[in-house]
Amino acid sequence: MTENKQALPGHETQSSEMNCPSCGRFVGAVSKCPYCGAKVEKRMSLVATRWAAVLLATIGLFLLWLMAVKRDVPVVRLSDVQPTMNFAQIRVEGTVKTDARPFRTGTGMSFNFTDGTGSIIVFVSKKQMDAMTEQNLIPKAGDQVSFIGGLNVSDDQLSMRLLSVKDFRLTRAVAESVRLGDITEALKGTSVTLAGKVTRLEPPPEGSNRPYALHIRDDSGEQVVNFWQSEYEQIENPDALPGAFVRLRVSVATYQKQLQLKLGSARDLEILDGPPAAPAPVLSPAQKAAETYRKTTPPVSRDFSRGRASDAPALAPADITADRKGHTVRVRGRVTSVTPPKAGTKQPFAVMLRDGDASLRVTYWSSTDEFIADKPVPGAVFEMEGVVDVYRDRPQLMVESGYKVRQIEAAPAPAEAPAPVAVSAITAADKGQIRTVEGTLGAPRDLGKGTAYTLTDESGSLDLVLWHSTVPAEVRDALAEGQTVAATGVIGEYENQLQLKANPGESVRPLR
Amino acid sequence: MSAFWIVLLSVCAGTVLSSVLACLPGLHVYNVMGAMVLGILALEGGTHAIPPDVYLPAMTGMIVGWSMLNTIPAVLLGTPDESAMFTVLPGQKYLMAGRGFEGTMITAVGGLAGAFFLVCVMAPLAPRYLPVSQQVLKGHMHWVLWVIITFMLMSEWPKGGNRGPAGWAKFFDAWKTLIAGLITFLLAGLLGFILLTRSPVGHEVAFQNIMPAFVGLFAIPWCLLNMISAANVPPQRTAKSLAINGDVILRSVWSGGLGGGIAAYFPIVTGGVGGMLAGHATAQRDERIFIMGQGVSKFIYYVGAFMLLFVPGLNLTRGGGAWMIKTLYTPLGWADYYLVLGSIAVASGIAFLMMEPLTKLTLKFIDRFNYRHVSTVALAIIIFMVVAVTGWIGLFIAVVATGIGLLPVLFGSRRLNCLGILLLPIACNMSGFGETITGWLRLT
Repeated sequence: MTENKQALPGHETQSSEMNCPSCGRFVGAVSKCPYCGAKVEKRMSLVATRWAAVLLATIGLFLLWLMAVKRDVPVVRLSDVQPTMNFAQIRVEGTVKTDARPFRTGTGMSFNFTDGTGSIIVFVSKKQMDAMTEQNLIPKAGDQVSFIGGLNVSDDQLSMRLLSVKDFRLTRAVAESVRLGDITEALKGTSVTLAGKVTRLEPPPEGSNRPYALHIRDDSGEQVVNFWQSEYEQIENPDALPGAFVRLRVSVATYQKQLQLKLGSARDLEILDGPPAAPAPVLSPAQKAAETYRKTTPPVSRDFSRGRASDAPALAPADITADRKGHTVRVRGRVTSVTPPKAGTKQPFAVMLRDGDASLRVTYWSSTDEFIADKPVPGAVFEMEGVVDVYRDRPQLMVESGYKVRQIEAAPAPAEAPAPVAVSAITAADKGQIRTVEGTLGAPRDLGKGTAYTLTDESGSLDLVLWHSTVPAEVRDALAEGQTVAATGVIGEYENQLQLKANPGESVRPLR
Repeated sequence: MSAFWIVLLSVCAGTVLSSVLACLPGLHVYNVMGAMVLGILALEGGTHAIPPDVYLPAMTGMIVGWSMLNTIPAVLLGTPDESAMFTVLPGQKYLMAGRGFEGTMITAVGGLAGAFFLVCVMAPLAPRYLPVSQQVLKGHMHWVLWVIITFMLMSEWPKGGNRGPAGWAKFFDAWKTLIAGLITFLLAGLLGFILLTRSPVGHEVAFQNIMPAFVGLFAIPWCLLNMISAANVPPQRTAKSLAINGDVILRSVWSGGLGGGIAAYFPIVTGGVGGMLAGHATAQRDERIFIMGQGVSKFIYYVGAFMLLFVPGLNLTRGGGAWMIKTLYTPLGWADYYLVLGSIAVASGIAFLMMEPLTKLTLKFIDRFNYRHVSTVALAIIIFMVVAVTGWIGLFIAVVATGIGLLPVLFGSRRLNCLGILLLPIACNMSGFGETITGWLRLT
């Protein structure tokens, strides 16, 4: 045993085991002196405490784990969610409000969910999305779901993050069996079951972003079902499709004012051995129930505007000046253009709001866009709340919450396009006038912020210009070289050449 | 009353309240703020609802006051929080040499220097550069976290094994503390997976579900250890001057600002980890720089992280304070930013002025009362807080966490390893395989 050394000055009052027996310095609870390395004998209490700590940690952790595994996650109604439940793991049960949509960034997807007392946006990671795709669990509007998620509650946002695909229970909504000829706009937003014979499978043109088109026919008529390359690759025997009888479940939507039937998963397509039995045209109880569901008024969403003393002041775009930099304001105006970020960049979305002669640029990040329920489209009236900033010496509004972007008035239905005219009939006198031209597209040319095609008909050709800020990506992506289209726009002139500047929205429509 | 006076009074009240509370060993400001959030939410919608103009500056003052005055129990009573790293040993050396007053005041000067650095240097630059850096870095956070974890685990050095004959005994002697550190990190990580995936804490108070674990990992072990092996504090002297100069202050701001900045900006990284990284990066060896740098680091870590929520164009949620405010209020624009910066500046001044009288008061207190009894009272307060907010289940979690938190204290490894509770599960989640591990643990 080491002989206890005289304690250093100032350390005399310590008990012997607090000081190093070799150098006399204070060492506290450690068993080896950090100064000279000598072993410091401790009384039994500390040694016992060490092993008690190890025992406590391991046994306690094991018990906690058992408790966590055996414990049922509580089912919570969304109307009962309080801010103190932030980070809580809860189970919710209800109906999917919107089809799950993948993020532009490819990092996952989201869908809106309601339990009848409130609604919430649910985020799904990419890994979970892949697993759900494999198990045919991608939620679609109307599906009944029950799942566990982690709550994220902030001042004005309520969201959930799916915890595990294993706990995700999904009951598909009853899909009405309908005849192809009975599909109308009344079915928009629902899922239906179709059956018929495949007359043609039309793959997308080389290099285009268009979907596959599956033409099917029954006694009542013919329809086209669209699906993407990813679904095509999942179909077990796609070569057998032409001429085969099939049954499939599709969602009904509209695209460019026309009905569109979308196949969400290859598992929703079944190749039959023979002709299917025709569905009865009368409404079944399930159909009636589905009809009732469609008429149900959506529940009023919860007010998450707590904590704010008053609403931000409402101003017109003309009132937004650089002097207001840093102020939080609400601005209402008609959307004249929407510019999404370029692929592969971290640019914000840019929306132009116009009221009278004044216009204002509004920006927000992709993360904010994910929370916007009704996306801004040209022609619609929107109210947006954000912070005034100055960009290139001009005031702009920076929106920081998707919940602060509200649609006040939907975009009006586009005015009837004028009757098509021949290219040769368009002269300089038509500048500023709206014209419709039918013709064949030439090779696309990138203009930076837009795309130009040479539009040729039997009488001549002129340039068709589609600006990205006004013509939606879905419209632009559906176009390809050699396609015959009807294009409506304003006649303009650039470098002494007349050109047709496509109108905002769905102004260019493929004809065949 | 005009908004100016409402804000000024609120920030003063918040600072004074937290300065006094900071002297209570083991009580974390976030526990008190959590209770306040519950109260504000309860009053919401009624005639006595508390407006943001009152609670925002008050809570800013609380964080500022606590981050500066928490040094008092950390140095004089040996109850550091998760951000402390080097303070304790050099601070205790000051205490055992009868210079505890000087130790706390040097740390307070560090806090004041941190306030100047934050308000005068960081605040003007943050809105311009931090949103850009966030856009660049946010896709890389997962591997940054893994690098930090790797560095934290690998930079712990063997504390024995350099004497005696070669063999397993010598090997074990060398590796004892390292193994204890690794076990601590893994056990804390497992606890983190359980709490973040299937927390037994009631969902009604889920925003505090990590609190019992943090109390158990950091506060309770110190109280217990003090009760078991309390040292007698020698008579303390007060001083009219401090053994520091401009050079020491600047070097402290450099090392502490870097450490605190890393901790404030990167998710899950605390002041202790940031301080460790900055300590290696700046290699400052002066004991005074260690102590003062910790003052700077702690201030930047707590207050800077809170400030990030209000930076226009950034609005980054870092630290418990910001998360709690976010449940009440969404900061918008420059007005809120100026409000918070002004509150930080005013609160820093008040907190520093309160440092000297409260340190002297605490010294008188520990001179009069037994150190063990003080620790016992502190432990009782902590347990009461845990039970009051999270119930008996929270206490059970705190007990389990205490077992883990005692390991580094008793085996001589780094207490930073306890931060595995957040570092391990969050790093796994950010890397995309968290769910696989929770699946192995049958938690999902």
